[in-house]
Amino acid sequence: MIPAPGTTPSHFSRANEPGSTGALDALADHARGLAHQFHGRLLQVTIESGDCRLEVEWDPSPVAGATPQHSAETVPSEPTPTTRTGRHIVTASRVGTFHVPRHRDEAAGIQPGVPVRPDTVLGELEAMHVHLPVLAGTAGVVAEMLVHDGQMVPYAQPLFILETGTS
Amino acid sequence: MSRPGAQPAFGKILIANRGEIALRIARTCRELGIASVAVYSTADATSAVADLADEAVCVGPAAAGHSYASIPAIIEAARLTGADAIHPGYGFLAENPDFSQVCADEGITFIGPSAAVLERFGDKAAARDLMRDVGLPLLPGGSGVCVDEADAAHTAAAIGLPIIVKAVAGGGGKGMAVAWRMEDVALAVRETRAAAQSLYADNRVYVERFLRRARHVEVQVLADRYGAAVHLGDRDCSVQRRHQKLVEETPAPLLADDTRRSMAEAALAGVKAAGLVGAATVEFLVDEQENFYFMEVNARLQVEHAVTEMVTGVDIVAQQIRLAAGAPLELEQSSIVARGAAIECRLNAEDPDRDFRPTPGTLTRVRLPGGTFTRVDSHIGTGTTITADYDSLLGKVVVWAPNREAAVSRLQRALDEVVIEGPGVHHTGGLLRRVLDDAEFRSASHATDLMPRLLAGPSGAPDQESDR
Repeated sequence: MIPAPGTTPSHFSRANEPGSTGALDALADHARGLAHQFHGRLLQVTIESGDCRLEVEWDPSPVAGATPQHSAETVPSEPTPTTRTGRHIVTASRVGTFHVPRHRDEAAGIQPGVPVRPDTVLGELEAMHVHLPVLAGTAGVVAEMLVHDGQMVPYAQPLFILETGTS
Repeated sequence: MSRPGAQPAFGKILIANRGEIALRIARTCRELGIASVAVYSTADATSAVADLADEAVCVGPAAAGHSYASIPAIIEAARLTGADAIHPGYGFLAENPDFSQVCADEGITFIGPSAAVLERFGDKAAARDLMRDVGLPLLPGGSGVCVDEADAAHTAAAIGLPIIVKAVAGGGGKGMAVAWRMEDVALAVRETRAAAQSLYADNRVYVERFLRRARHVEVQVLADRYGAAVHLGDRDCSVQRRHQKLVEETPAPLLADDTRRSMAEAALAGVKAAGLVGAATVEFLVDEQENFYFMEVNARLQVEHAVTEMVTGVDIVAQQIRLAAGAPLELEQSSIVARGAAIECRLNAEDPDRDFRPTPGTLTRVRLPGGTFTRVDSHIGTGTTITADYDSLLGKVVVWAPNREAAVSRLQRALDEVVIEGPGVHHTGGLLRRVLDDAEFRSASHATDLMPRLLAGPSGAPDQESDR
């Protein structure tokens, strides 16, 4: 599920949350959510409210004894934590042109090895000047990026392969 | 149009359709030396046209609104493949003014009329008014749109019963109801409004007299952007069930030469007045005294265009492509000679014994007819899956012969060859065979009431919606 070997610093950034007063709370919630979502050892959490930035860095190597948080994806009878991986293919939801995310940090972040959440924007599909986000749809790690910025794609073309799973 | 040395009109044509008509268009593209792009939905991934065309693009899921009838999906598919023109076939986006306009805006040639012309013909009440102004005969009816049930009742009282209530945005036999008695008028309006809202998101309706016994005769026309137009003769499409055509033939039998000529002239006057460029069909109803009345214009390729091609030798799709590219008409009226007779019947995956319910399924055995002067336009074969997502047309069997009698015999022979089998799959071949055996049909004395009579069977119970 999480790239190995070694420790790969990763970060996750959010677009601006509306309303400045709740921004810190929202970021803190996200941080808590991420801390539960990824099962590697948490190394660092950075929260800013100026431009609503949230960075989480962790050690992606599996932690023995870590409690899986994704109950739906967990086989309850398993006696000891094991790594269970799967592949999730993100396909084009329409005919159009693929663009990397417009947010610079997001664009830089979408590459193999990067962890994603279901609502992570992997890119955009543009059809007749209307942009729709390409969402990861599941939590996991980007295993392969099958498109490049500006590439036109038919409906259902695979765009990304995500590795998913629990440990 | 592809004379030796002549440049093809377009480099690449995207075919925004499926089934038999997509295949038919791809074939003409190939003959013209124009690359073709098939589009398909996930339900049609193994379609014959995707195999035959030069390229194929998946444009969306099974739901037509997100694939074949999605303007962004089709436009983006054209951009993706570098197609410089789009042929819409019939149905889906063929008569959608927005689509025609978007194509123009995107620099892609729409092989069909401009948005303005499609709007003119798409609003059936407005088209009726335009044709009245041009001098075409109309059935008695209200002027313009019918406001409400009381308005319809008022019209019915003025013109006499029965009346037919039709959707302004309708056409092709959909969205209409007949009222035989005054007390049924309000219901007919309500039903048509509801159907129109659901089919076209436009609940406007109009009212005209319903002819008890009429023949459906239509004229095929071609027009260029320089104001010239020709007709390719007429077709009789009176064999219908619930206003859906099942058997079509040309020339319309037993029509006096004067009537034929007058209808053709009226059709040409109508499309010229509307500024049509391309192919269209002007539909008329003809009563027993051979009075004819304008019904509607279909500014697109018709399912039944093949019979006209058989007797004239004119490839109508090739002409559409040529005219869309801006070429002047190469045909002169005097050079168009219709020879012999041609008849087509439509094979649908429906069960005539169960109210023509569509019967989707996978075909395990298919044998389609062949032989002399026999043309089969079909996309099916063994292994084809007929889905419930689209219309149930399996294909068209078209024959030519020197005269109508011989054409009927040939079509009987061809239909007898048809084998289409699969678990749960039924087709209308047997019923069509009965039509061809019918004495009225054989003597060409039939009208639009043939199918209701045939379906009533020995019990005499009428097909419930035959004239509704």
